[in-house]
Formats: sequence, structure tokens, C-alpha cells
Amino acid sequence: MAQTAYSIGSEKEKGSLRRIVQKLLSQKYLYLLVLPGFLLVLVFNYFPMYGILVAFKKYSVAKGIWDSPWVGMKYFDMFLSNPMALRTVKNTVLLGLYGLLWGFPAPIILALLFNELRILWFKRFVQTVSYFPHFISTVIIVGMIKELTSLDGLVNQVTGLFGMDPVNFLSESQFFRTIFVSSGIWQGIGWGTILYLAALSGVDPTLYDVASIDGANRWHKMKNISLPSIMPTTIILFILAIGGILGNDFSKVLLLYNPGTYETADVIGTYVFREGLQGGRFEYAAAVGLMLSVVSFIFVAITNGIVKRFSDSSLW
Amino acid sequence: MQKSTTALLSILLASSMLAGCSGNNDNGGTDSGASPAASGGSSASGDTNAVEELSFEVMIPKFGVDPADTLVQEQWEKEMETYLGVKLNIKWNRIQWGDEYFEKAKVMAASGEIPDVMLSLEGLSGINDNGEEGLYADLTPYLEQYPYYKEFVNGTPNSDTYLFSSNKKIYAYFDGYDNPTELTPSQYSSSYRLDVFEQNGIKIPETLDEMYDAAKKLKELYPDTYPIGSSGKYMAYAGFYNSLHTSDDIYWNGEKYVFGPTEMSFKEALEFMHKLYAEKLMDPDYFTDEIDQARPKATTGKTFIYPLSWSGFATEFNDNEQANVKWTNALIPSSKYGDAWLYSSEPAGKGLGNGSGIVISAKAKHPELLAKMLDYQYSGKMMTLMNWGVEGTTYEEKDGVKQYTSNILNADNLYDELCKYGVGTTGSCRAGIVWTPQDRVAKYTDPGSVTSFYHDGKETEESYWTANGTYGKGRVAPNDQAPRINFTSDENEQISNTMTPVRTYVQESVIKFIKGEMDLSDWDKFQAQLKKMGDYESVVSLYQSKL
Repeated sequence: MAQTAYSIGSEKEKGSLRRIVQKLLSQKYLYLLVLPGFLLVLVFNYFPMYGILVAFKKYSVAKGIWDSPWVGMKYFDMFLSNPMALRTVKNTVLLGLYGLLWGFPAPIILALLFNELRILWFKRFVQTVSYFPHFISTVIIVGMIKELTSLDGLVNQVTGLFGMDPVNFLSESQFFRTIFVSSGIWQGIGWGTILYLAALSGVDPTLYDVASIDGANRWHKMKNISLPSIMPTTIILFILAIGGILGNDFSKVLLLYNPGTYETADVIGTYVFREGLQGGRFEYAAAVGLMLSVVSFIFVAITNGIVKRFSDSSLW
Repeated sequence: MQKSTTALLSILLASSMLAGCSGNNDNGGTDSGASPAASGGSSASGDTNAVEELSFEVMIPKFGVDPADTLVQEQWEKEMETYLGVKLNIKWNRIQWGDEYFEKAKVMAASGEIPDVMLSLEGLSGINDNGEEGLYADLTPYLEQYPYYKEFVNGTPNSDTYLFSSNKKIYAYFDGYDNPTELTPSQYSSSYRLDVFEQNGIKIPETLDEMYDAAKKLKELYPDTYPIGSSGKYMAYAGFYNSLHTSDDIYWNGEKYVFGPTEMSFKEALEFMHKLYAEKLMDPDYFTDEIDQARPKATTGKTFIYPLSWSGFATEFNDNEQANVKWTNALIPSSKYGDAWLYSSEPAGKGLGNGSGIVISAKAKHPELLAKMLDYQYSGKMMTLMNWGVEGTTYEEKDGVKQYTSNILNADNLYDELCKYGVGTTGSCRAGIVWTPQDRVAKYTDPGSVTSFYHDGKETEESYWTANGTYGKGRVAPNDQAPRINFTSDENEQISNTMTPVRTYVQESVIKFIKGEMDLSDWDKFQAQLKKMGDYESVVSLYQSKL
């Protein structure tokens, strides 16, 4: 490969290529370290992008992706022209937005609280316990939610103490988002603290000492030292989270919703899933998926642009 | 500095891509080394007589228990080797049934990289599409050549459109059944807490009105219960629909295809359910309960009536000694439209269902031998083996009637015992290349289906299959025996595209009507909105045009 490159390059390029090779050789172990990760991303994230083509094709197995006939924007039209499209888009965005609004600050607050704990074994214990929900499968989580919110479940028992009538929460559309988002926070809060705690552990302890000498209390220190020092991490994670707004936990919605809650719970993913049940329609799913990815990317780009204008941290 | 690194990376990228491409070519090419096909021992010419060993790869689902090494599986291989006159060398790939298998089969069919033999779940149009495109072997020539499968093909109504492609070709060994009885039974019934009904002198309902009265009385007697519950979402409303002779989707009403939600009888079903809900006779969890939520209510005296339920649940509740309850099954109550339809009844005779079937890869070597093998699974001898096991060991036959042997019948758990031998009737441990055709008699006489059944003022212990089939004779829902029509994949696309918003709207409106969030006086508005959701009339016409 390298030889071919040499032969077509100009004299100047030949020189720079030589430098590359030299550099490569001098840092060969570092490049070797990068290689597996690089290949992984390349093979599993970049090569499959070729498959995006099926969103614009009538895919036929025998002809393969490239030779299948083009159908243009047919599948995009198909989705956008259906009368439920607006509602599913709204539900998807709102569910993601609420998830971000309540779910994003939660681990930051928890991480700051962990950071204030002085008894080390207690801190470790609570931290470990808080990770647990992350490892429970969605099916189990949904089963637990069903139990808790059923007519004689814990939630109704508690509200019953205050004289309220029992409600079947999972069949009332107005409760769906609350249930989905709050259980999502419970699932992810502990795991979400990890990156923030790592950032907090990097804070120079002398800063706290100096602040103490100046008479700062714990609240002041948290506000003026801890919080600003995890700001770059927070910003990066925030930009990434924006990209995830449209990518709701599809399987959790699917397990948790029912026709009684379609009004607020039916997101793009679940709708397409129901529609695609009749026959494996890859093209349609690919088109909708591509549409979501493009919109998500735009979200990320806008957020990144805004953040860049007001701070030093940004994705690019 | 950065530039040179980028250049290096792009070289690396280009070379890996080339590597990737050439890999693809290998797979797509005709190179025999890359093909997963059978390697006939002595030659690859397709000359059957010359083959000594038939090697091939199979991908099928398993259902919890791997049947490899079971008696029936060993016997299956032995019988097949004798019948084919070759030694079999099979590479089994049994994947757990459910999402795991669905996903794998779908991805394999889509990528075109399939094993020699596999169970396809794509349905007729998907199977035909892939067959016409050359992914699956054309089985039409073997249909006349081998004796057994064609009997099932011929027994299937409208087989020319129901099983064949538009080019008159057949690409799969479809899901077969043989029901030699006269019965067209169902495994679903209405269920009632018999002990509570008898204690309080309440009649087991035969009509919807009687069901309402019974629920009303039970509510008076047990004010903090909801007498009517649901044991699963998919069964929640169908009992009422079947009683009132309607459906929540497009269905065959005996004369033509109609869309249920536009019918008066559908409105009446909603009115009735709304009445039950408003008077707190129907569980507020009715819309969400699955059996896991229903079970505790059924066994602790919180639910007394299931309008429609899988009949086996009653047996399960009754077997719970701690609960000490007595449930019974009965026919679905009738209405002003007459006897209720049976839910999901099974046809009589031999036939095939076109929802899934075993396909042979077009790349497989010796498709004629594989076809002969799969054809043989439809023979009486192999069906007995798959459904009953081995004579003397798992079953015995007296006067033409088969019965499991005493060591099976007396086992703690009949199914676990049958499972050890790989007898397919267990459901969980199925030998052979599934789907192997079902001998429905084995199912209908399965001791596990014996349950309490209430009919004509008295309770008996009998199989829910035969009970529903016998007492419910002539109550087959027209749609269960609808003309077998078919759609092309483009038509299927059109149907799902039009009907998904409509169905979504129907399903959520049903709940709103029952709860009273939508008023039944707004029926016309509902109809108008339904039309806005999609042109269901065109879909009904499409169905109609296929007759």
C-alpha cells in the first residue's frame, strides 16, 4: 500500500510521507495501542453506514444493496404522511426532553453529594448500591414498575393513606412520562455519577484548603470549586445527551406502554415497530432511523455551537 | 504533524476497506469453498445414488430444551437414514425460540447468507419473494416426486394461492397439521369461580345479560372486588366481540370482508363493556393485566369471571393447593346475535398454515435428498414418532387409539417426562426439523388439557379442546375459516401503512369508550376520525378483490 502511495506522490509528498513513516516507527507502540479501538469503530460503526443506502431503495436480497432499485424518498414520505407521525414525533421529543431536564442534573447532584461524604466506607457502600439498577434488565425493571403502580401496589397504598382513590397508573396516559422518566432516573443516576466523580477526584485539594482559610463553608466550596471544576465534563456530557433526546429507550417504552397510553407513550420507534410487524421492512426502518440520526446530529451541532460561543469546552 | 497522521490514517482506512470488500466478494461468489452447502461424500454432481453421506447445516428454533440426544431425535435420524439410504451428517444450530430466533432468521434471510435448511418465519409473501429472487430452492418439482407433503398441500383450501407463488411455485415446507376428528376445537373459554358461584346460588352465565347479572350480584356480595378481570391483554376484549359477532379489525363475516369497528355490534360490545366499567364490575387493571398480575387476583378471590381466557389457566389456579379455589371453563356467553363464536378454533382435516415454513437454500447441494427428507416428516410414521414418541416406551396403541404409557402418565410432571424423550407434543422439547406436522389428536387427548368444564347445568372433567369442540359445534367464527387470500409484499406494505394508524386509533379509542373518556354518543365523530386515520375501505376492497 505504502509503495503505491510513493509512486504517485510528488517529490514534496515523498518527503512528508517519509516523515510519517519515521514518526510511525518512532511511536509504533502508541499506534499499536490505538489500532484495536480504531478498527472496532471502523468496522462496526463506519462500514455499516453503507447500509444507509437501503433507506432509498427497494431492497432485494438477491440483488444486494447496491443493485436494488432506487425508490428515492418514498419511505420518508410514507412515514411523514401518516396521520400519527406528528404525535409520535411529539411524544419522542417530549419524552427525551423531560428525560434530559430531570435526568441530566440528577447524577451531578448525587456526585456532588457523594463528594461531601466524609466516611469513606459509607461513601463506597452507597455508591456501589446506587450502581445496581443499571445492571438490571429492562424487562425486570418494567415488571417492578408494574407491581409498584398496580391497583394494590405500593404507590396506590401510599396515596390511599391520604384518602385518594386507587388509580391504574399504567393505563392513564397522563402518568406515562412521569413513570418513564422517574424510573429512568432511578436506573441511571448511580452509574451516571462515575464520570463526575472521576472529574471531582482530579480537583486539587489545596484549593479546598485555601478556601477554608478564607472562611468558605462547604456550600461555598461546592458552589465555587467543585461545580466549576466538573463543568467541562458536564458540558461534554450535555452535548452528547442532546444527541440522545430522540433515542428513547425503545424496548422500555414497548414493554411499558399499552393502547391506553398510546397518546403520550407511542414514540417513533414503537410506531415503526408496529407498522413493520407485517413483513421485515428494513427500508422503512432504515429511513426512519436515518431521519432521527440526522435530526439528532443537527441538535448536537447547534448545542455545540452555542456552548462553544460561551465557554472553552466543546466537542469540536 | 497532524496532517501526516491524518494521511496515515486514511491509508490504513483504505487498506482495511479493500480487505473488507474482497472478503465480501468471496462470500458472494460461487467459490465452492465459501459456500456453506453440503459436501456430498463422493461427488457433488447431484447424482443421488452416488451419495454416501449427506452433510448439511440446519438452523431451527428450540423451545427451552435442546432435543439433541433424546430417544426420538436418535430414532428420527435412524429412520431418515434408512429412508434416504445415505448416512446423515447434520450440523444442528438450534436457537432459542422468541426474539432470538426471529432476529437471527430475519437477518440471515436479509443478508442472503443462509444455512442449507432453515425455518423461515417470513410468511408466504416473504418466502415467495426470496424464492423468486433465487435465495431458496424451488420445491415444486419435488412435490410430485415424493408422496407425503402433497397430501397436506392438497388438503389446504385455496392452496394454489395460499401456498404457491404467482409463478405457481412452492418454496417451503409449511406448518402442517392433521386433525382427523370432526371437531373444530378451541383452547379458549370463558372462566368462572365455580365454588363462589355455587355458594351464592349464582348461575354460570350462558348469555351476556346473565354475565352482567352475575357480576352485579358478586359485587354486592364482595364490594371491594372487581368481579370481571382479564388474564392477558390479547384476550381482553375478544370474548365480548365473539359474543356479539364482531371484531376490532378487518374480518370475514361469512359473506364478505368487513371492518369491525364500523359495525353496530362493535358499538354494542363497547357499550356493554362501558356499563361493566362504570358500575365497577370490571377491574380497572383490565386494560393492562397479563397473567402475572391476574394470577394473584384469581387465586385470592379478587376476580370471579374471565370473559375469555386460556382454558389451561383454570387448571393451574385449581392446582394451587394454598389458594383452594375452583375455577371452571365454559363456552363464551351468547348474545342477541345467537351463539358466541369460538375464539381461534382449529380446522378439521389435513392442511398447512402459510405463516412459516422450512426452506432449503438454493445453494444447498443435493436439494433432492433434503426435499425427500423433509417430505418424509409428513408421513404417518414420522408424525407418530414426533407426536407420540416410540411405541412401548412412550405410548401404546389399543384398537387404533394411542395413549401414553403408564410411566409417562404417572410421572410427577407429564411434560417433563415426555420432554426427556423429545416428544414434540410437550412444546418445549421438539425433535426433528421443526415445524414437524402436528397430530392434533395427540394434543386434544393430552391429559394436561383435562380441566373443569361447565356445560348444560353440570360440571365435568374433560379436555378443554374436546369440550369446546363438542359443545361448541357449529360455533366456528367465520373468520377462522375465511377464504385463504394472499397479498404481494407491496400490498402488505400498503396494508400496514394504511392500517397501522387506524388500528392504533381503534385500540386506544376502545379503552377510552370503556372508561367513558369518550362518549358513545360521539360514535359518529369516532367514525369520521377513523376515516381520517386511513383509507381502511380501500384495504377492505383489496381483501375483497382477492376472492
